[in-house]
Amino acid sequence: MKLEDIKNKNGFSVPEGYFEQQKQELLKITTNQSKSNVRSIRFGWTQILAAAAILAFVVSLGSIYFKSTETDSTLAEPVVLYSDVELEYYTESLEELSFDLVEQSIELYSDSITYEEQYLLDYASDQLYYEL
Amino acid sequence: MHYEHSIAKQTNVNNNEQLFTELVNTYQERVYFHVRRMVVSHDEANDVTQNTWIKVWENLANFKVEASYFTWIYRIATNEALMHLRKRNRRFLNFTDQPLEVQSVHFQSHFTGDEVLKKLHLAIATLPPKQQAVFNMRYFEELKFKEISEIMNTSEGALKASYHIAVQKIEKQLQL
Repeated sequence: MKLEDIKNKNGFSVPEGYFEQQKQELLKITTNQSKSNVRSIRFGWTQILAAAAILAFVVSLGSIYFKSTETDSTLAEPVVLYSDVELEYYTESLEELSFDLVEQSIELYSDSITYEEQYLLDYASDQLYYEL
Repeated sequence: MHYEHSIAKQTNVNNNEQLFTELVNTYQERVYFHVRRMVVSHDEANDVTQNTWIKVWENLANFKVEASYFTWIYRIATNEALMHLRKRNRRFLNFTDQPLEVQSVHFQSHFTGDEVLKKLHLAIATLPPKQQAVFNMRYFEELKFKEISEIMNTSEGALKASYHIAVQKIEKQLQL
């Protein structure tokens, strides 16, 4: 037997009525085309709305985060910088606290007040006055 | 056999829906059996042919009339079948010595061929997928190498060599 002898045989078969059924299904594609276009446009709007909602959520989260970290850093600053200094926290505002810290550090680390230090103290004092 | 869809017939068709219906009527069975020979299983062939026809419909408006519808549809079908085989081989772990294609021949439904034909399909299943496609198109469908080269986008020389190697392998397996 040669390979050519088997040539015209087709061992594959299909279920009864398969091709007719498949043809009907395939031809439905053409009639559903306009419907699927509408669906894809709707899907496009849904995508845009979803993206906008996610963006708004991310922005609001970001603003909350930055607000909280900003406050934390302002509060943390004197404690970190002057952790070795014994402070008396009876001041009522951050401005007052910073003024006290400048004053105390000048007193701690210098024998006499220089012109620049005096200027700094005056400036801080003025600022505190205007703030209050 | 004359497979070409005549240009005159193509241009007489008024719109894409009519043309698509015409193409389905003309090539549906041939496309199915072309794919079936490659993927073997009926269910898989059904999925692949459906994907093929969906792509034909989606791209029908962009089709250049100078080219042959038959070659174009066959190219889509061949690519879809090759892609399906690649996906199938990636998706399923094979714990046996036999390739998945050979196992498909053993366990397929809707097969009415005799033992010799089954042996032939088993031998074809051991070939690399592209070689299988070339062999099937030349051997079963008697396409010219020129047509196969347009479908596979490969040179005629390479296809002839590929077919020759495929025949040798199959004859050796069938001990002819």
